[in-house]
Amino acid sequence: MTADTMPLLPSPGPTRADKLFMLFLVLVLLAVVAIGRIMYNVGLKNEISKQNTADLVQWLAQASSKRFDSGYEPAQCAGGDANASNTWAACLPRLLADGGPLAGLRNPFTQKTPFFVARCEPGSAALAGALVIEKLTPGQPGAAQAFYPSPLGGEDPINKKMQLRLSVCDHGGYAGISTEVTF
Amino acid sequence: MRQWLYAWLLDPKIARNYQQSVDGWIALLIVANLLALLLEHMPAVYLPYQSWFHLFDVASVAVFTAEYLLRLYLAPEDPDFKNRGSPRLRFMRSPFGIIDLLAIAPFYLQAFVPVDLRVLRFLRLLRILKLFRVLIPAWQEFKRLNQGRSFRQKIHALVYPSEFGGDLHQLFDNFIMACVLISVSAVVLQSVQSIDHVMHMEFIVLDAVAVAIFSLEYCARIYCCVEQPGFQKALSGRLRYAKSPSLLIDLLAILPFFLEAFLNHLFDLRFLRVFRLMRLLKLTRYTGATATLTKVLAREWPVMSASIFIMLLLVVLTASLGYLFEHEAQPEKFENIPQSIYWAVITLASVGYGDISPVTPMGRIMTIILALMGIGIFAIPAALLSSAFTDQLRIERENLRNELYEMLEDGVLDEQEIEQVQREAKRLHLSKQDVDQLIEKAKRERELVEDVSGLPLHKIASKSEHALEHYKSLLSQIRQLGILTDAQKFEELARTSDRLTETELALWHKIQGDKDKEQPQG
Repeated sequence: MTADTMPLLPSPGPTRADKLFMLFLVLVLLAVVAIGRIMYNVGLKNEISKQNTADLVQWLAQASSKRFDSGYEPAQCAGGDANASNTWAACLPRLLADGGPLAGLRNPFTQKTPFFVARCEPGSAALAGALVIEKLTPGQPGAAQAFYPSPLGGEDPINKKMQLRLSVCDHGGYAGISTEVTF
Repeated sequence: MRQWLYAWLLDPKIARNYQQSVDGWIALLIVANLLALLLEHMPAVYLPYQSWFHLFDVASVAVFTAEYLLRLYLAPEDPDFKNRGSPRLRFMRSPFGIIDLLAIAPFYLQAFVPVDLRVLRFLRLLRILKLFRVLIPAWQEFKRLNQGRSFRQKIHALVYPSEFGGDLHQLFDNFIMACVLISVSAVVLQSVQSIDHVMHMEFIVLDAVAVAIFSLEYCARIYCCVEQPGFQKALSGRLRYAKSPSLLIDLLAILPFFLEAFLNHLFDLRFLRVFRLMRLLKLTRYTGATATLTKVLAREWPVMSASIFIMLLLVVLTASLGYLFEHEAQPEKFENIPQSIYWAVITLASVGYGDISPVTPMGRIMTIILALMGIGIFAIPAALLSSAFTDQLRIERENLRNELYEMLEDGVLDEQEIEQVQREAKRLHLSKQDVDQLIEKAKRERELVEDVSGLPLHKIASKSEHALEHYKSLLSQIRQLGILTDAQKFEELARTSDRLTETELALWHKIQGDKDKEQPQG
């Protein structure tokens, strides 16, 4: 009879300490699953915020070719000399208002309409899901950077074509990856 | 041919054939397939490299098909099937045969029947079942080695190296190492914003899975550490073990996950994520490199500390002089002595960023001296460490040679001894040639010690065994002399010159085996 074919000696069953240990392992696993689920949900909210930015970028890119046509709706976002008085302060709320092209957007962290901020502030959870739009000003020929970013002011005119950079603040107030678009 | 192929590639009972390598590479390919399957669910990764994924799938199926056909061909040699009728058919109907077929069948099936991509991916997931070919024998061996042992002892055998661990312990170690490498790669990739942007959710899941695995491992190590010598006490033993460097590293590998979850509302703990890279340190458990470094540093510490002291002295002195000469000329750069220390270290270490440089003639002269001294001063610890490493390696090789010397007491190396030597050789990064040389050296030393002929006569006489061996050796030499010399001339000379007595001559004949001349004449 070889070692492979010999019948195995019975092992003693698990003791109380062994059972407690296994219970503890299950609890540890449950804790990791619970924390992982919380993190997953936060991650999902970040993904929805990113999708909000993507939707806004898509709208801005589509509007950039049409908004200079006469009778463009929403009129607050129309471009051209005839709409020289249009500003971002009027356009952005119109986009997100009921009946606006992006009316369905919701900040997943507050379940309210997303708001715009000048920039993200790391550590500021209140800015979670906030959208950031920066205008990119072309640099001088030969400058180190092709475009210089600056915060978009509410009173900034909207009638001319411009280069924009969009990002969203995550749950910790950090800016996510930015996307550039011509509007 | 079939017997030879089976013995060469698939027979698990033959040590040092290619069976373990074949199983290992197949297992690796299965894991790679699983990873590829996971990546295929990420459109950002899958879509640009679709053709590469397909190629990898085709290559994998080709390997798995070759393996299946090989096993089918060699089934008549497999002890599980050879003594029964139709061994190949029996192989095809065996659980492993079915699993092997399931791993490749969907690929061929899609050529004839249109199969939904999701169903196909699910079927490909069945390839993971092939891992059981490695796991089941390891589990059976583990059960055999641990029969009659308690649950805690079995956990100990699984997570700590011991004679009871077998292949399952090796697989456990490999699994933990793979988890460490995957999780550290994920942390590194997560720092690339463009990658994190598209794979953020996957990274979250991966991190949670890695923490779950490492947490279970940590708990298991703490629970069964009382089986380790020196840590037997239930509470104090575990506490003491928990404070050991390797367990602290294990704790650091999982702590950021829990801290970030619990304290996220109080502080911004994003910086803790970098500490997940500490998981890489878990690999130190599986290599002797850190132990060697610690030994080298401990051994060379007196010399190293002297060298560090000289370096510190030089840095502070030159920084002070730099401040003295340059402060007036460049108050913004040589603002104070601590700032000058930065300049002194950068110059001494021959880094020379150039952000702070002297402008006064005295400052420049001092920089020249400093740079020249730096070459020597900074080279000392490096040279010390390098020579100490070489020494340590030599010492460890000597130790291995001594072990070999002891092992060769019976003249041969048995299976267990060969395994031990192979383990040590792997740890010391010795090639097969190096090991053969060491074995040869140890053998020669043993032969030299066993050859007592060179010892003084009184030393040989002090041990009866040596005396007996020496006597036999002398008899043999006399016989050789008789064969080599001209027997007739020897006889004539012995008789005519009276140089040998009759008894001596008779003894000569006796030793030479000349029965008719053995009696002394007279």
